[in-house]
Amino acid sequence: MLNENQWSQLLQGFIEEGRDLIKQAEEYLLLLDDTPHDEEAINGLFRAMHTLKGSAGLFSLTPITHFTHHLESLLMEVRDGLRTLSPAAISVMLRCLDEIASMVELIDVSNGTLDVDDAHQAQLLAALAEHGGQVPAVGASAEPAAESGAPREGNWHISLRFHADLLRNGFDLASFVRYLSRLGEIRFLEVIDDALPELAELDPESCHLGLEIDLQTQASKAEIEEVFEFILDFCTLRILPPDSALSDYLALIQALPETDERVGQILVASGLLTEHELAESLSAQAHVADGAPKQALGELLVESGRVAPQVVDAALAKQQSSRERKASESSQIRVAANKLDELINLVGELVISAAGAQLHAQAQGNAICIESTQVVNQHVEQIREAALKLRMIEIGDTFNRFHRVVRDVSQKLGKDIHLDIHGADTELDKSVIDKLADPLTHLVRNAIDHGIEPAEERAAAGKPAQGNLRLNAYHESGMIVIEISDDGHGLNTERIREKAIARGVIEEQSNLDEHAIHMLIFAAGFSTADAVSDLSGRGVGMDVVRSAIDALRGSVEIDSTRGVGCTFRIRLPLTLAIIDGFLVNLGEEFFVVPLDMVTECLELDDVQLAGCKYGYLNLRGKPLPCIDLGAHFELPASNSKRRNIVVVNFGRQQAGLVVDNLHGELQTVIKPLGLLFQHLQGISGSTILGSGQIALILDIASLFRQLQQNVDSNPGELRSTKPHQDSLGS
Amino acid sequence: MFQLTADLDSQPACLHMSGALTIYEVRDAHAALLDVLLRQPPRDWQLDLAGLEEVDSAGVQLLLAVQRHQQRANVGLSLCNPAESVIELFQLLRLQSLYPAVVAS
Repeated sequence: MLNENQWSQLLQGFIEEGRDLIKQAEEYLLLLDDTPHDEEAINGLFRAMHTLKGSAGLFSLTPITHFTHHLESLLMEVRDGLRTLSPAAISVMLRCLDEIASMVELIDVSNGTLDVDDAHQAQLLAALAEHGGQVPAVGASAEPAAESGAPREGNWHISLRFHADLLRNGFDLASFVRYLSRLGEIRFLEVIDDALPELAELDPESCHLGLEIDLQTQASKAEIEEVFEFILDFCTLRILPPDSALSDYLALIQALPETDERVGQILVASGLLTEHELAESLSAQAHVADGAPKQALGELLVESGRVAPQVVDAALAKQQSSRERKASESSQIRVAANKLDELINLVGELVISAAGAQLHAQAQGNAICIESTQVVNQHVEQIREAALKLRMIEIGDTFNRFHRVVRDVSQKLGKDIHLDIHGADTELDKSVIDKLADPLTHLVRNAIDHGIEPAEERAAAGKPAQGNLRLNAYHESGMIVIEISDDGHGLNTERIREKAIARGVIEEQSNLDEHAIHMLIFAAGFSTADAVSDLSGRGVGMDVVRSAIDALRGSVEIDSTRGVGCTFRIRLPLTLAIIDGFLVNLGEEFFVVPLDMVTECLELDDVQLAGCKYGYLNLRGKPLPCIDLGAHFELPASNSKRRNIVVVNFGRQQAGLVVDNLHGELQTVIKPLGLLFQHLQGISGSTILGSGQIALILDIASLFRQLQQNVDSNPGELRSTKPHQDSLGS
Repeated sequence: MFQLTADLDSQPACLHMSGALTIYEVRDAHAALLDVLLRQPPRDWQLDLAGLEEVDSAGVQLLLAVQRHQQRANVGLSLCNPAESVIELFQLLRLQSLYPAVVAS
């Protein structure tokens, strides 16, 4: 029996499966919203509900079983063409899915109990019954039914070969036969024991059996397949519909592991083939085998004019696709996220210790030793990349979630909005994606609520009535860029300026360009919407978006054109765990600047910036705001003779960091700062150097903000100066 | 629990099975059967299932393996006294070769 721990682990597994299924179901449902007659979507939706119900049943989660049962029966009617799903019904079903999702989350893993809000569920079920869908006109339903092949009583042939692990996993094949017999009458059944090893060599817990079954039923192929749904991983299932072409039976004969004669006899015994047909086709097959070019049996039959080519093609394609699906399913492994984190941590340690080894080797001056540590370092770098790739997932899943958001929000506001998704296969670190969902949702809601105008306004502006929202993702020089663009009226620069002045965010006389004014919407407590709507406009939004993106070491910029539309562009680093850094020092202290942000390095004449923390340099004719890191962090004044400027880029801004010495590139494993130091300004983390020394990682975004504040508040402290090289040249 | 007792004096020699023969017992049952069958020279056997309360497909597989073992040595195997539930399983899987009586019913 299972102990308590195992049981709650299984339950945990169910909860995860449930989440996946609900997500799938939601995607199918939204697909149905666009294309109401998509059979695959209906079947997928039905399957998801059916599996959820079945699994919930295993854990005696009656409320879920009960609730999903209603959805399942409704979907069954849709699938059978008795009902169609109206948009209203889809809305109700979406709400039902939400209810199931919240039930799944409410499951108490420790004791497997589930408390539900019965009244709310009853309400939903009533709405479901009401909107359940209309019975379509007879004429309309008759046609597709005829096309898809009306259900009819026929002899299906089902051929099952089980994998060794079936019985060990607690499945009893007798129970599947019993279940199958509920679908119809089992006309023929034979247990295939040909693969049984000698008694002495038998592993009695492994399954060596197979089944050949003829089932007379009205059920569809999908319904028959569903019987074996839970053991699809543990068996090879082949189903032949009634009146299959001779070639299909022959294909089956060939595909089965037993000898052709043996399978042939089974089919003859079951009355599906006659002796004559069998003998003829087997000899034909032998004939082919003699001939040099190996021709598929199907092709031969087609050539001799016995079966239509499309029949063979269809059968082959079906087999092929189901085989491929199974192959791709089994090539995925689910791994707990914390195990991956552990691996990445270890790789991080490895990077540090390998760097240490190289340092020692260089100190010793032993050539062979240096060479081998270099090789080790190369491999470590490869491992680092491979390990980081493990955590990379496609952003498509996150994007697809917005179909639902767009649908709900636009319906609430009475707008018609189309969501356009590009670059769904762009990959991004899972930890980044998780933290990105909230800010993205906010931006999408904002675009729908404030960006895209109501239909009348759009018509007046000569735009198509349907608004367009576009999500796009792509890679750009070591960063990922995510764009949220709408074709609405763009940002109202005047209003933002007025508001900013009213709120005291900027001075009345300050002269900002349009872009800078747009960026003001990210200031804390800023909202331009006059009416606070249910969805957005409470003024708590954009600064939260900004800080979420800052926390990911990313940046956001706005491209807005009045009356044409607005694009928010988010730039994020690909990963949070390890970066390429640029090592510098200030006296005894080491600092790391993220390499992606470094644009150039210059030498500075120490005298010129002496005594002030912040200032401007003349960089090729342009002012470059500079920050003396030593003075900024209040480190003891350095006595280094030659100082350097590291020019860093952040979004469209540029600034210079004054440091002592440059040490070059470094693979930097980011160690988060402890709780105590989390609110430290200007530092985002730390890393350990090969020598064992600690280096702090500079948070360029926050340094930029501090620089901005200080430059604005203490203009008197500013000195204008020139980089050393430039002054030499002039 | 699965128990196997051999009665070598009866005609044909009889193996009395009792308890359950499911996935949980097949490993023990397999060892017990091998112990008896391989120690004796090939001979006809009768399996008395009277004491078997529960059999599943793993049990059926083991019985089929015993049957094949006997067939290879060209000796007989017959089953007797299966319980109602066991008959139902044989019926379901149409194992007339193992227990011919199921065809009649």
